[in-house]
Amino acid sequence: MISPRSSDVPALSCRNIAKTYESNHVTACRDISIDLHAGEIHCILGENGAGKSTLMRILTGDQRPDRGSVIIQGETASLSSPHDALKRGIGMIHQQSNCIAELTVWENIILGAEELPLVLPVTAQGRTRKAVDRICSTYGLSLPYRKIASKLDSSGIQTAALVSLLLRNVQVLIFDEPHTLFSGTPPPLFTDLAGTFAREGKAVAVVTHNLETAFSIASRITVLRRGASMGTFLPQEIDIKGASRLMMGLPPQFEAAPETRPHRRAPSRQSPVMTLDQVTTEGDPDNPSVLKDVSFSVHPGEILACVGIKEHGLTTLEGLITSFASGRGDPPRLAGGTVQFDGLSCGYPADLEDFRKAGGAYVPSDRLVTGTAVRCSVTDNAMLHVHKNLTGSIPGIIARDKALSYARKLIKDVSIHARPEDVMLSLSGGNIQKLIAARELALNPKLLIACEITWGLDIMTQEFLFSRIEELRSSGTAVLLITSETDIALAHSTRTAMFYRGRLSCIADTSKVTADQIGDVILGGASI
Amino acid sequence: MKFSGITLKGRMIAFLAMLTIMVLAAETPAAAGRAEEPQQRYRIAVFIPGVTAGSPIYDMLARGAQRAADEFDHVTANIIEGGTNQGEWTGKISSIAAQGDHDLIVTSNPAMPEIVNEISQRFTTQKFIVMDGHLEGNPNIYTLRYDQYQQAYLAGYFAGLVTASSMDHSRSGLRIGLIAGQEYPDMNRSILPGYRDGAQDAAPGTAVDFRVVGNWYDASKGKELAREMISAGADVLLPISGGANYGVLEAAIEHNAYVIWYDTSGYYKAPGVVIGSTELLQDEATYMKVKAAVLGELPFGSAETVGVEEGFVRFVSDDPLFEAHVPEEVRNRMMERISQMQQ
Amino acid sequence: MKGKLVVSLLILSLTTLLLALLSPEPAETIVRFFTGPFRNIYAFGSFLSSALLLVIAGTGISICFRGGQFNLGGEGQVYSGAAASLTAALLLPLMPGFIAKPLLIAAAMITGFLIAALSGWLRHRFSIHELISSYLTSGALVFFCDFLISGPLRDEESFLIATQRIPGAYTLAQLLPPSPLHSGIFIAAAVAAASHIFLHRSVWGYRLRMFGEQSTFARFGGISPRTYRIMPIGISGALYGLAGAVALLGIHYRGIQGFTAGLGWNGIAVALIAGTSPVMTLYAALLVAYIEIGISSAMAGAAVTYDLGLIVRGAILIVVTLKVLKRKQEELL
Repeated sequence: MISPRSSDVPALSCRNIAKTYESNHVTACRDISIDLHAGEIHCILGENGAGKSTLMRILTGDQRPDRGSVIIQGETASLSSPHDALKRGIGMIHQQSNCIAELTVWENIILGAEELPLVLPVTAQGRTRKAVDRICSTYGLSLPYRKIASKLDSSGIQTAALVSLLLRNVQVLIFDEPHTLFSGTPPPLFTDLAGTFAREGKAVAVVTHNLETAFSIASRITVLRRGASMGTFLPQEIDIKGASRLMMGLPPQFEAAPETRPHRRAPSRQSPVMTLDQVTTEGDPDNPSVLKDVSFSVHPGEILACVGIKEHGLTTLEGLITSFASGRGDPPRLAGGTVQFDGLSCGYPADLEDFRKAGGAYVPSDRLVTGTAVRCSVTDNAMLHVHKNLTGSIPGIIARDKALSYARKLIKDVSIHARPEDVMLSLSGGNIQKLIAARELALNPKLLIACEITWGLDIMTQEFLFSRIEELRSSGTAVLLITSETDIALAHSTRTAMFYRGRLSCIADTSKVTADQIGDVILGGASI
Repeated sequence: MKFSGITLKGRMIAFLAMLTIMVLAAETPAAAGRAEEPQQRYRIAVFIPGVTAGSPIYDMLARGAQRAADEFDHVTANIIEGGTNQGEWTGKISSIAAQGDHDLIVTSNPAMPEIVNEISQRFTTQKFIVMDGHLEGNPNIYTLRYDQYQQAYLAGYFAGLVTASSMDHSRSGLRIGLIAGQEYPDMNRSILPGYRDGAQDAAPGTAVDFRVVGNWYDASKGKELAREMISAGADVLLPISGGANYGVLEAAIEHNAYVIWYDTSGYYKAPGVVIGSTELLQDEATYMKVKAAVLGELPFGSAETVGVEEGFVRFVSDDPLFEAHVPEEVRNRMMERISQMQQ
Repeated sequence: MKGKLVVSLLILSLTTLLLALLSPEPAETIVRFFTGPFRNIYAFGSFLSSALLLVIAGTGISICFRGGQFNLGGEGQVYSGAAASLTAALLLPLMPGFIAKPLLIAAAMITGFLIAALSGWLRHRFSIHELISSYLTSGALVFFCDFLISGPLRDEESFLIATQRIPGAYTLAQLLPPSPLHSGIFIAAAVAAASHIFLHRSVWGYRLRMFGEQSTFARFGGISPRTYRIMPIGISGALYGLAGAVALLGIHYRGIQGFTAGLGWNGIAVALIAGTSPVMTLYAALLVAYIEIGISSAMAGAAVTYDLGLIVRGAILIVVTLKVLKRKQEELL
């Protein structure tokens, strides 16, 4: 563990930051002071809407505070833009990185810097390319330079953003809900990367909900709640439970709640909604992400959780059963076996439209590119599946009041602070995810496929979403949960299917397995 | 939405206010200036259907009108270039006429009479002079046309002399060429027959190879056509094809043929290859007609045709390059024919 | 909103600056430029009549942009639309105007649609970017239309490279003689209103916007990629065709070689200035038309050469595109 060199002047700090958004009168920060030292990993915890994102935007010049000051290396600074911050060595990797979708990764990397004009002389391109290669090999990252940015998945986009910051020799690195994995072979873990950066003397700030990640890497932890700092702690001064209590401002007994597991039930005897029979997907069998001889079925009224490492078949499974690839190219193809979803048997690979017509709902793991159109309004996002039913007296013309009230209904369903006309991007990541879930749940589907539904959500929100999913389940919906978080599976599923290297190693009643057992299966291929 | 609506409205008001100021600022001094002048101003607009740069015929038009204007204190001439897009000419001349502050609009080319005639229906007091065009009967339009038959006849007569001569690149076979940018009434009715008749008179039995580029700019097409004509036996070429003329010239240089230049003197363009030139004295004609208009002596409504006798169409025989590259015998026969025509 | 104002001011001040620097009589040139459209009825009518064409063309491109596509084939599509209308008007038997006008307009729109939709289809089917295919087809079509007008349809009696006039009954009514303003202004108003309703109220407009905003999201919602690869660019082609027909029936009454030139590019300029809102398209069309008329007024009055006019117009296009690129770059950071 790296401890902060407290005698040093902080690389970046702020004092008494306050910020209220004019557009919706939401006070995001009330009074926050924080120090980021060179060589430390400083985790900033807080539930959705605690003010984390706004604080980071202020620290990186994206927003100006109403009150308070930003101090860089001991000098009060007035940052005018993220670009300005970047010039002073402060860079942030956003949850939703803004690349130019039409350009290649390489063009995106060089476009960001004005000292690197797009029409570079060949030699300068070469120099830059060498520098980027050096960065990649130092940190074990890899980048498909010639790929178009819109075709990257979220971790690819984050990796590109990271490389682009490292190329500019950034000394303060801020991560907003970082992916656990970055692109590379083998994919470097975020926790390892953060440690490396800290050892190099960079100041690393990590904004996250994930308490386990935070406690495994942090040199110091700051907890935010409702726009104010609840204190900064060394890891030995506080534990996970203490931190989550601070985050939620709840009495300690809440922690016991998940232990009751209220909805454990044996699989229904009704005929299955979806059945996979000896499914093998196209591709090299040695590739862990290729599915091999997978058979299971999902019944009405149960929650089946598929757990494992994402790259061990979960992503492939998601693409296969929804017939949808979020990036470029086609969804995975069947090499053998069958997938049956009610009447849709022979159709696989069908298309997503048929999947939906057959009564399927789908919360995608890639929420920002697939699950939402982030630059559109909440209404536009809300009515995706139902817009054709919202027409008024004139055929083909959507009745505005119907659309608005539908959006309000979804907003109310998941009780988020948003207006129908707000742009999605102005919502926090958690609220975006809630809205996606609300949209899919509102379809009252026969089958719900929920992928990484808890990613980036705080415990309150997770509980809330699962209470809604539980309602659906009890009314007869079959729920297929695809998640890489074991505890989610344990807390909420009826049965758990464990994947290792593309094979379904084991499927068991969730009440009969423990976290350790699941860990052994999905990490080492043990059998229960 | 509401917020933006207010800004838009505010902006519109500011915009209109600015315009009002501009209009007032524009009109006041001009009006004052007009009142002080003892003699009524006479303003001429010269509309160039194209650009003057690189176009001698339009350059002469501009110079002729300017020269006429310069002779009077109260006359000014504005040269306005209309660009090569024919579709825009009507609108542009209309907008000049609509301003109502030009007493006379001068323009030139065979296509302009129909355009000007149409505009004249809407702007009934506007006077026009169209050079190099022909239209009778509109009391506001005076046109002057050059006798294309005569000009082509001169070129054809000379071409006939050359192809029948024993000059270096003259070949046996009595075959000459004419390359047009486009087929149009004057080309078919006057130029081609004039060229043919001239050649026949000079060297009976001469055949004319006539080809069309299809536009007025494609030099490579011009070059290709010229090459084909040369290999088919033509040894003297008359290009009347705008920018494509230069392609013809190139082919002639490469494949040893002769070229006659049309409308302006072109000897210097390729000494020894351009061996003959016919010329329109557009500057002189414009000068005289504009001056007559200023003095109130021009018969608007009439159409004149001028040629060799009036001195506005001529064969350029006083250029040293002509004397240097054309044998005396050919020159003499040419001069002989010209003096016959002038009588 | 503020951005638009800045761009407008930037364009106007750039124009002023260029005219001031390059004109031998700067004061008169600038005054003439700014007062251009208001000097007389003719100029005002010309201003509105070129603005209405820009509204039609610009609206189409705006819709295309909203659908996430780019159409660089405007020049060819306008010209082809006009040529289709023209061919029908000259070759079909004489009809009453109330039948002929809708028919000629439909011919132009269908032609424009098919040409542009081809590029969309190529994008969908063969992943050939519509940017390139639309530009290349446009180039070929301009040649073809030039050929039609200078060849088969040519009026042999005219010294212009032009066709005969279309029958008088086919023309759009003059509204402000002697200016060229004609009843096409109502068509433009209808196009602007209809496109607003289409984009923001209709089921298809919603799908088109979603597809343009984030195609993955739209596909995720079950929206057909084929339809929405063809529809946005197809609509822009149809409206370009319409602009061509209106220019023919309302202003020129005959085909003259190159008579719609410039409308394609100016439509793109209008859409780039306007961004996304149809209201802004009206504003941008008026701005661009203002500049056109202003420059031609400056050319008519003062010693401004034709080339200078071209330079100023080119500079405006560059400023507009730079602005768009700048925005893209800001998004990145």
